[in-house]
Amino acid sequence: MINVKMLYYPGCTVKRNALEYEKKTLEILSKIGIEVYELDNWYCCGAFYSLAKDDLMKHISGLRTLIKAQVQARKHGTNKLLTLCPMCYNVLKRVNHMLRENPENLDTLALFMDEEEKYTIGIEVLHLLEVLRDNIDKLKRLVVTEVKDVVVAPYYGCTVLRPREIAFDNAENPEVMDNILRALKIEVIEFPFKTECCGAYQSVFNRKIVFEKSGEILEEAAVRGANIIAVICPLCKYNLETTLLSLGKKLRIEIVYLTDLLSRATGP
Amino acid sequence: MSEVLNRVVEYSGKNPYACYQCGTCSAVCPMVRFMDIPPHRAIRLLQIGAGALVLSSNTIWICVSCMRCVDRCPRDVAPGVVFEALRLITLRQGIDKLKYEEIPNIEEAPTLAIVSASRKLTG
Repeated sequence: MINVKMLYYPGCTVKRNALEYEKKTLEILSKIGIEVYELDNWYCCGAFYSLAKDDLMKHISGLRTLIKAQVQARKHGTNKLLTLCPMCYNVLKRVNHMLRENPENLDTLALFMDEEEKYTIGIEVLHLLEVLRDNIDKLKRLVVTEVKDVVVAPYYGCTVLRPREIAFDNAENPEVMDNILRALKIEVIEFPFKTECCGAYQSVFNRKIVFEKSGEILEEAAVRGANIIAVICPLCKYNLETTLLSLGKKLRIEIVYLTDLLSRATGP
Repeated sequence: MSEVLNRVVEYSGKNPYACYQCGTCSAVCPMVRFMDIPPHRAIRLLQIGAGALVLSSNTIWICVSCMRCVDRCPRDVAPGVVFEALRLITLRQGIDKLKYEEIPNIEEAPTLAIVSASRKLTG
């Protein structure tokens, strides 16, 4: 099997709150022949893309990450930068896109930096879902057991599908995750709430909003017969889980990372 | 143009006057039910020089920049981007909205929730 190389940017939350997500993901990737190189000394991507037009400085953290990837791209011979966290994906891909559309912004941003080399806008930012989608045939061949008694509601959240210019699937009715799960013979329901907002960072500002929004997602999944909600984002998972706890034992539903399900199907 | 509107144009690069009040933004907004003023009305208030009402509403702090309205706006007014400019009018005065000591279960909250809330709700 020819191995594909990828740089890997974990981001803060994967390393602090979602180590299991990372572990299972890296195992699956290695099984489908993807060699992953974690960036050395990576730092914050910025978490949220700044929308202000007059304040480029807020893009520095994203740009620095991309430059770091550029340096290590030469060492490892690949320009692909893998992300697991959809927020990291969103920020890095949007900064990349903004620089491609307005390369003159690079000169302004360079004024804030001393030691970094110039960014040549050559890094390709990828999300895990895209990588799994492109290797779906290899995934199929790995299936060793049928995952029984599991009915999955795939839940995408917002940040891998919006805004339009960085989306890799239809924002209204994405199917990437559905297709990956189906390919592994895991039962998937039609889930109209798959892109509904979980409440995002309101969990630290106005928690009632999260409980209401995530509560609707949980109830809809349960009504449709799902016993698992598959997620790709540590923040969606946290919001859904804390909401589930707040509901007591009313719903029999579990929030699970997509790659956890994949690893159940493909064995140890 | 009012002072608030001037700032909005400067910070966001968007033109609220282009809005023809179709209401799509309010229809697709996942947070609209929690807002004092729905997005399309906030834009209308900006147009008629009543931006101060929007600035003092909870609307701009409830928006989580999900980009639904931005993707769907047929006039590229992009309320989600305009709201960022409105937040910045307050935040750039050094007034923070997020109080760290009031965050519930801060130890358990995922890092990215705290970092992203900081990006949106503090200067």
